[in-house]
Amino acid sequence: MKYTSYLFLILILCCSSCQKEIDIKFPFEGTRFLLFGVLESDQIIRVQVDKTYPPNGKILFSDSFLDSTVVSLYEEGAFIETLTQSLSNKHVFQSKKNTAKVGRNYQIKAENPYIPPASSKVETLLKAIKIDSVWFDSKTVLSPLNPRTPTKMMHVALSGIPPDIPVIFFEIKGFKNKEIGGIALGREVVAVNIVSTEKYDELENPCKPNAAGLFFKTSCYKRDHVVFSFYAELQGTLQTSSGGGGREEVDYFEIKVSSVNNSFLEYYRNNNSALDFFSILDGIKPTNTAITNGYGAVLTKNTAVVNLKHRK
Amino acid sequence: MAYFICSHAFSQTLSGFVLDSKTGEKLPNVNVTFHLGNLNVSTNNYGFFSLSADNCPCEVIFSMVGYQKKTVTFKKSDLGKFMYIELESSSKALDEVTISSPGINYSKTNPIGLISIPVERLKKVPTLFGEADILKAMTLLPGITNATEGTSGVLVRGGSPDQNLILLDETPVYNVTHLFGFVSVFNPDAIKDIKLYKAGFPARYGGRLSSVIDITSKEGNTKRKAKELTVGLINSRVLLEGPLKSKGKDLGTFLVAGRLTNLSLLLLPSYLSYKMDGGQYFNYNLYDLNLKWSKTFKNNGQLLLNTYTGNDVWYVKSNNGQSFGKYRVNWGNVTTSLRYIKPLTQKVFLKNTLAYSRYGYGIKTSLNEKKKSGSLSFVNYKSLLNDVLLKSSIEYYPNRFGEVFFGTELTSHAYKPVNIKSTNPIPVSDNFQRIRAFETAAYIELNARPTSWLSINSGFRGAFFNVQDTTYFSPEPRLSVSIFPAKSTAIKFGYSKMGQFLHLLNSNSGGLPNDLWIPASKKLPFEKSIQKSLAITQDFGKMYGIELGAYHKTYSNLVDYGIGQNFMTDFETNYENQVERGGIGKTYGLEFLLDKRYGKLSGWISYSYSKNLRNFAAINDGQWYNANHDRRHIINITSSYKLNDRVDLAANWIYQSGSPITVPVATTSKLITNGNRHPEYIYRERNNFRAPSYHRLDLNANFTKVNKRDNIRVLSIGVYNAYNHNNSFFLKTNYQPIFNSDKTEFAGWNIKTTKNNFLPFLPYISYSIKFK
Repeated sequence: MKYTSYLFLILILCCSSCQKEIDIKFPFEGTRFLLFGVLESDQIIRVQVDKTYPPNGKILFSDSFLDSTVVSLYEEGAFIETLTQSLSNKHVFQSKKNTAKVGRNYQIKAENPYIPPASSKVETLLKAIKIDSVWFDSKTVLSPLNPRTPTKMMHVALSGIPPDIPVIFFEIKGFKNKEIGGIALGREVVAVNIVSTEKYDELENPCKPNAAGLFFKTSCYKRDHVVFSFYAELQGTLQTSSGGGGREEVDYFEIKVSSVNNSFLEYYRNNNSALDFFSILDGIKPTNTAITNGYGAVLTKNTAVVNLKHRK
Repeated sequence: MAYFICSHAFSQTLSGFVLDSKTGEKLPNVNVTFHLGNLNVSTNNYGFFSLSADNCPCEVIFSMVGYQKKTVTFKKSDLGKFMYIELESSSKALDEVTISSPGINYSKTNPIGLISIPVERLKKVPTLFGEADILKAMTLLPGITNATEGTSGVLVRGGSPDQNLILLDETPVYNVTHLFGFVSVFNPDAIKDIKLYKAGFPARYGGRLSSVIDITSKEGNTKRKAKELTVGLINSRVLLEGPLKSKGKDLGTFLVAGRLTNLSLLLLPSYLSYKMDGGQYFNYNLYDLNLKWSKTFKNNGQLLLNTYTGNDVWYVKSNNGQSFGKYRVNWGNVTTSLRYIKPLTQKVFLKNTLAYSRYGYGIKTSLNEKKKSGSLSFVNYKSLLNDVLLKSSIEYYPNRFGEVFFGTELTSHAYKPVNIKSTNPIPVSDNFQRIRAFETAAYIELNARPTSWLSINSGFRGAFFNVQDTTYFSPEPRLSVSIFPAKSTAIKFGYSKMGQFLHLLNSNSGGLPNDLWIPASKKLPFEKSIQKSLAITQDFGKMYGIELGAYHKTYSNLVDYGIGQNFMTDFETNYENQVERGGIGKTYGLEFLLDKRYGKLSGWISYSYSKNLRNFAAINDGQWYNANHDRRHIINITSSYKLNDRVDLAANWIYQSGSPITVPVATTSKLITNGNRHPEYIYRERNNFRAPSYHRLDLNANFTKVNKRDNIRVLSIGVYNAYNHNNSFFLKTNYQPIFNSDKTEFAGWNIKTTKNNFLPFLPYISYSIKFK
């Protein structure tokens, strides 16, 4: 139904149209911090730091402000460490020793003499969810997106979802010749569509707040046992170093199920598009931020992984 | 009321109908005045008048814009009889828009907020592609504008398009757009009268917050058969009307007015290419049809059956040799009304209406495998709204000092916002159950003219709305007062409280068809507004008139699309949680109109200043912000010049402040690479910036020729946006990444803003033949 947007555009293009460059300066609110971090279980805490620039005109990026920026890590409300700049990437500030621990609360603060100080929300690293089993139906079905692509139903059973996990997030990838046991990772087969059966197409489901991202609100399901079902297309394009390859059969699926915080969900569902015709129709949303006096988010994610070989 | 009834006992009455002498059409809004004295009445929508007369023989003057004034001497024996008065239309009067009521100007006597301009005058206003469009012409008046360039979404005093009650022969029309809003659904050939109220709403109208547009279609020529054919750039129109007779027996009159688009002909080359080579092809069909039958009985009662049906279909076909795909969007209205009107006595006029209104739109996508006969895959999406109405009202004319109108209305609404059928599995929750709602309203309205310098329209409307397990009551007091301190001056005041029991969910304001109409509900209470307005009208002779107006309007229980919601593509069963609700708004403004009514050069200059604000708890941190339709300054200059009997010229100049838009407040160094590379923008407040102002000049020339058979041929040549001003339909940013000197590192952005216009200098031509 996105086509509805396009038809109006086509009508406009059919009429003679013209563009004129105009010298308009959009109001710039001033420089703010951008902070972005993903805290994962037992991983060293890292935060990416940047700043904002004017919304239009000629803009040249500068990273010299990073030299005078101090990024602090707080755990359970107490300061524990000043993060240091990574040698490989000036924008990354990381802990020397602290890893993210399940059930602990974290906060990041950034300061610079020329930029208003910014701080993240207090975020908790949540428990991982147990994947009970994953299986395919034997029969092929019609893919809702590509009718001619062989497709099977994939089912993922979860149990014991803790009550403090607001959202779970599925990431499912297809691989060609992926070996289990670390011998070879195989090559990813991209453009493999995985579509939830819960809703058709892009009509959103309040329990599945972002169809493309496969997010599900746990409050909508039985926490002791739930089975999620997906249309899993069994063909895609093999990704090679030179770009896309030919159509290939998927022989392995990697299924990741993550417990994520609300900031994680909001960050991914509220990314804005460009300022163009469609933004008129879509209605522009304010940039989502979980950072006070700045932009970005500190996301927490705890992931369970299952690899599954698909037999023809 | 007692005052009226007591007066009734001592008065005698002249009553009847006023008709067009050539067509026999009953004429609304005709001024009926005693020659001596300045008290007057107007004919109602059905041409009926009732005038108390104590001292006859007496002279009564009948006058109307576009018609020659007629003075009739009534004898004492005429009292108690129904009179049929015929007015002769004057082509000269049409051109000059003569105001012929002695000493009384039509605009001065109009209650506050009422705009009533002859259709013939509106038809002369140049519009896009030369398509005469009375609705668009109305947007050139103060306080009225359109949503987006070229579209017919009407905005009245800061209200949104859904806040207009648009009635065609007493039946509501929900979507008034053809061709994505570039043309309105009202065929000018079929329209007899249009009234627009922007304030001081009489109690007989209700259900919307911002305006009432009451359109009366023609009844059909009672005297002779007539036909008219018009060929335009976008549409061709045909009109047939006349009396129906069988073996000398009067079977009433009929009118058929149809419009059909010419776009399919223009797109024929691309269709032939598609047929031969495959690829992609799109087409557009639209039509509308007005059918009317009316029969006047010997008891002066009249039965009127009116049907309007119109539809737009836009589709794209694709054929790659292996499969055949189709994408189709269609929308349209159907309205039908059966009315019976009858003067029960000389002082009592009865109106009964049974009506049906339907609005629907659908989107269908399908993919067919060529080798197979059946459809392999399809999605069929429909949205429907059905109304059935029953109205009954009485107009009571007790004496020359006033009238009493009262009536009831029952409406059954059935909403089905989303209905999907598909070869793909669809969860049941995606298909809405039909939502039924019942609306009941009763009103009483008193028009009082206690002295020659005072006129009062007061009333009360009470409306109940029952939906699911919720019932709402909307008490709506109305008041409109006109004071005439001098013969050519009027000071007017209006107060209106309005309720609206339905919401429109849309992500745009351009009159696109994908709007979802939903009823008020427990979570989404009905919308309310209160408007106070003041106006001063001054005539300078018969030639000129000015009006100064001011108003203040407040809104409550408004809804708006939620942050990041787009109802064009997504609609949920729990939509009530997806919209921003409980919004409040305020609009205030000043308006000015200078009208030159006749002469070789006629026209008007209008200016509107307004401030239109909204407040929602979840938008802009609960701060007031400029509403989407906030336009601070609007200037319209509309003129027509009669060069000679064969040539008349017309011009419009329009200026509007830019509308509020949401632009980014910052960008980042991040390069978004999903598809096209573009900057990541940061947005904060909604409507934080104002688009560039808008202005354009339209020109039109009509060349009229009457041949020996009295057929009238009119060639119209014109140009839209004559000085090719690049008005912004939308703003767009063009961005180029800047790389460092060795082009290895992304070092910045060069972001330029462009305004995009799709209606530049646009010449047009149309040709019409009116057969006699």
